[in-house]
Amino acid sequence: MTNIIYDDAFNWNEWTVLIIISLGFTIFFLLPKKFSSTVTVVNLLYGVVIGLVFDHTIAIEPLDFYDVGDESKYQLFDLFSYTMYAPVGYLYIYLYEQLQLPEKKYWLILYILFWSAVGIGVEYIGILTGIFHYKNGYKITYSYPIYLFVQALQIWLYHYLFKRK
Amino acid sequence: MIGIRQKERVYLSLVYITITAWLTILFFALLPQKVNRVTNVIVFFVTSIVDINKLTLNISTFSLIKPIVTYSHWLALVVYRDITMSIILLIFVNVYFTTQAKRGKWGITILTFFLLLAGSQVLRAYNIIQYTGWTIYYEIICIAALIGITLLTARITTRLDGGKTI
Repeated sequence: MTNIIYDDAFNWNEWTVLIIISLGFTIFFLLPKKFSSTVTVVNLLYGVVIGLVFDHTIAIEPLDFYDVGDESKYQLFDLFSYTMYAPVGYLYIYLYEQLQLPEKKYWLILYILFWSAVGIGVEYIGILTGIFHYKNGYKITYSYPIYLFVQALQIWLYHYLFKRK
Repeated sequence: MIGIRQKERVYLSLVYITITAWLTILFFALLPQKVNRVTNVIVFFVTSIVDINKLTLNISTFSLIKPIVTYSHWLALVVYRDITMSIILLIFVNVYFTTQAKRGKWGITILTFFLLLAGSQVLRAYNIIQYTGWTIYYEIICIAALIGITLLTARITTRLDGGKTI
C-alpha cells in the first residue's frame, strides 16, 4: 500500500474536526436532558460506528474510494476524528422527538432528506478543508444514498429498541 | 498472475467465511435466553469500534498485517470483521450473563477465546491476511483484551438506568 501524504501540518482539516466536535458536544450538554442513559449512549455510538464501518470498508483497498486526514495511512488523529459523529447522531434523534415526528410519519421522509443534505454539506466542507480526499472516481453524490440509508436505519433502530411496546 | 487452483481457493475462502457468518447468526438467533436488546446493540457497537480500529491500525498505521487485495479477500475480511467476530462476542455475552454456574461462565469464555483465535488463524491460512510484524502472541493478548472489554461493556450497560433497560 503506497502512502499518500496530503499535508503534514496541524491546519484546516484538524481545526475543522475540533470545531465540529466542540460545537457538537456544546450543543449536546446545553440541550435539556430528554432521554435515558441507554438512549443517549446508543445514539452517541451509532454515528461513530457507522462512520467507522463505512470508512473502513469502502475507503480501504481494493475499493479505496477516499482517504481521511493528512495521509492515506490511518493516523491517531483520524481515530479521534470519529468522535465528531457522536453528537450528530444524538441531535438527529433529539430533534426527531422534539418535532414529534414519530406521530407525523410522512414528515419523516422530509426529515431524512434534510439531514442527508446536511451530511452532504458537511462532507463538502470536509473536502474543502482536507478532511476527505476522494480517489478512484468517487464523487460526493455517491454519499447521498448512504446518508439516506444510515439515517433511516437509525430511526428504525431507535423504534426497535425504545419504542416497541 | 494467479492460477485457476489459486483462484478457486480464494473464492472458496469467501464461501467458507460467509457460511461461518451465517452459522454464527443462526446460533445467536436460536439462543434460548438472551440479555436485553439494548445491551446487545451497545456491545455490538463497542466491539465493532475496537475491532475495526485494531485491524486498521495494524494494517495501515503500523503495517504489522498485510491484507491480500482481491475483491473476494476484501469481502471475506469485512464479513469476518463486521459479522462473525462481533456475533461470536454477542453469543459470549448472552451465554455468560444468562448462565448461573461458574463452570458455564468459564467454559463460554474459553470457547470464545479459542473460536476468535481460530478465526484469526483461518484468515491467515486462506491468505486473507499475512502477518508481517504481528504474531500469534499479540493476537492472543488482543483477543483476551477484547473479551475483557466486551464483558465490561455488557456489565456497565446492564446497570444503566438502574438496570431497567428493555
